[in-house]
Amino acid sequence: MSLTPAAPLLSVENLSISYGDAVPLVEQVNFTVRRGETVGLVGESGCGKSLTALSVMGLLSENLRTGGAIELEGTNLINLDQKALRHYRGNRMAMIFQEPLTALNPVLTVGAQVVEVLRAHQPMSKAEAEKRAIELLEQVRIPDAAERFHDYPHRLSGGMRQRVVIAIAIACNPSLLIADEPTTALDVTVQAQILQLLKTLQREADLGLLLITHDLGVVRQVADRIVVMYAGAVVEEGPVDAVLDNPRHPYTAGLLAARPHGSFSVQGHRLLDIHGAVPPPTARPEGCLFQPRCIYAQDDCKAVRPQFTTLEADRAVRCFHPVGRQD
Amino acid sequence: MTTVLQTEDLKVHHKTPRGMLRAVDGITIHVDAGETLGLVGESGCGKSTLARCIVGISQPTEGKLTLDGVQDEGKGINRFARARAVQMVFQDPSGALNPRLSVGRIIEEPLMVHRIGSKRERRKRVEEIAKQVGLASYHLKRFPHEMSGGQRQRVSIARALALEPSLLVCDEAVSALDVSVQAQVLNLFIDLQKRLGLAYLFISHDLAVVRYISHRIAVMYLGRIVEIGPAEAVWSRRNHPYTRALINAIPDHAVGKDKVELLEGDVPSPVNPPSGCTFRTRCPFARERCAAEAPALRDRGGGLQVACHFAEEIEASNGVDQTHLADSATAKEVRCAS
Repeated sequence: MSLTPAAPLLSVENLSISYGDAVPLVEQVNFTVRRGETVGLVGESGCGKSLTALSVMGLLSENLRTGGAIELEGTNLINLDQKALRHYRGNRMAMIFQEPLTALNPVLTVGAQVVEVLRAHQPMSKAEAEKRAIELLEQVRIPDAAERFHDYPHRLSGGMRQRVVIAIAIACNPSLLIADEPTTALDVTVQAQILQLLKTLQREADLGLLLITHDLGVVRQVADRIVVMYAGAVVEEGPVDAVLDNPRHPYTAGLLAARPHGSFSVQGHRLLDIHGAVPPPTARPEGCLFQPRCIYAQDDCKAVRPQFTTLEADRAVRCFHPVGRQD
Repeated sequence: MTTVLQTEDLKVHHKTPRGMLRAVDGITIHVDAGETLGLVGESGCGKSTLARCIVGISQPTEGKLTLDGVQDEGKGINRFARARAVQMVFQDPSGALNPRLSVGRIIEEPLMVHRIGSKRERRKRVEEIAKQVGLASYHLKRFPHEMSGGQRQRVSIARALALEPSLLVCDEAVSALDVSVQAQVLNLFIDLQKRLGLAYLFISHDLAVVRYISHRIAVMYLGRIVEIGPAEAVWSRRNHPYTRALINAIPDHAVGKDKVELLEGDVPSPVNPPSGCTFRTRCPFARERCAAEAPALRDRGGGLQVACHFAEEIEASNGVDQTHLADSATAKEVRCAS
């Protein structure tokens, strides 16, 4: 496949996911991931982050309808049937899940699980696959990989298990890696190790990485660009430092301000919370989706849903009255 | 100030086929009225076991526990008296609330168990408590599944407050909540403390949360306290290498990319902990003395106590380029010797 360097690896255009005809879960989601780039997809639970990721992988449950386009290296995945998709999953794109203990099969050794993926996608003898599996376990920095190969998942710590899941994901050299909250279940010291591993692997193989997380600190540390979702729609997008230093959407600004900072006993400050909660898909408001929780909401926000508009090069926001500085 | 919780050399040991598991191994802490003691550490360090001992879900194998002036010397504290002294708020409010009871009934239940007031008095009290935690009276007729995660956590807090305890043990009470809702609940904890003079033992793996809400912070590693002191002293002086590693591992938006100091490996098994200082297997500063001699908590001034032989050196090196210290040949040797 010939690709100009500028062409995105993954391009999601006008993606919508709905339950039946009546309940839209995700609406008008647009973003791209380039080779070697990390895109952080952030938002609170119920914002549609994981649904978006699952739709890229073609793993949504059958009763959900998908519209729009999901193009991986120029092929629209939405039109593909399950058989054709299987060629893409694992080979061209792979996913890392939040909870390694449920992502791994408890009755198979970790080695067998890596071998299984290798042989499912590539013509390989058992011996070749085992050799390659041990290399992969070494690549994700598992000490004594040849011995750990024969261990069952329960024998490993949470961090080691997540390394195995990552080894499985990169086994067939995919070009796109989707990581759905890969460090949320881990301790902070182990989280730092796994994030560093992901970055190293990405650099080595020039991977496109779509990182889904609720943690703005993780995004800041790892991602190049950030896509903020709220109630099923993208509300802000841009380079990670620009967005987090100067958020333009009130929701992004609110998320940043709500993070615990400083010490109450010393400074005596309250945290700036966002009142209310994310509305469920069945009760999304008229006008702007964030309007009922927004302290800047005006009459036009309640009447019309704002479009996703480009503010300046590489930055866009879905808001009539953006906050922050105009650069 | 009155002390509402005092533990002395509290231990919880479990016999396992592989040897004695020292989940909690000699914890001495106290919490005063109106004060928040934050307890941090990685999973498996014994934070939750300690919490369960204090509220009486598990029994300590050794040590003294005093709650609201009532001492437990092995026989246990009367569970009614204990329930009035200490209550617990759990991590997952959906698991902690009975799905078949209405919110009003959930909050009323402790009062019924303790035979407090007439039916009408109890209903009135339930409405008062609900108001205190920011629930409206129409919420009382709802069931837990009809509420959001944040509201459910408010119900858990309301139930915990029903008997007017002097201490709340909050075990990861805001960890399952989204950040905007987490801020609401943290603000609520602070308001309630100011209004009711409550004391909190606030357990979390999230150091930023603990720093925000706590007056004092205790850092636990493998069943022991390795550092304890005023929140800002623990946070900014970083005398213990473990505290420093925990803080440095936070992906903070103020910290630049690729500047994270990594701690190698995982927490060792509490069944077979390393000799001497239990942190030495992961410590970038470890030397021979650390393998031979277990450091005891010692005073470092300003109310700070640290269990590390080289606390002075570590404090002095904070903020300085540590590349020459970290991963020195001796440190590696001591880490590898088991």
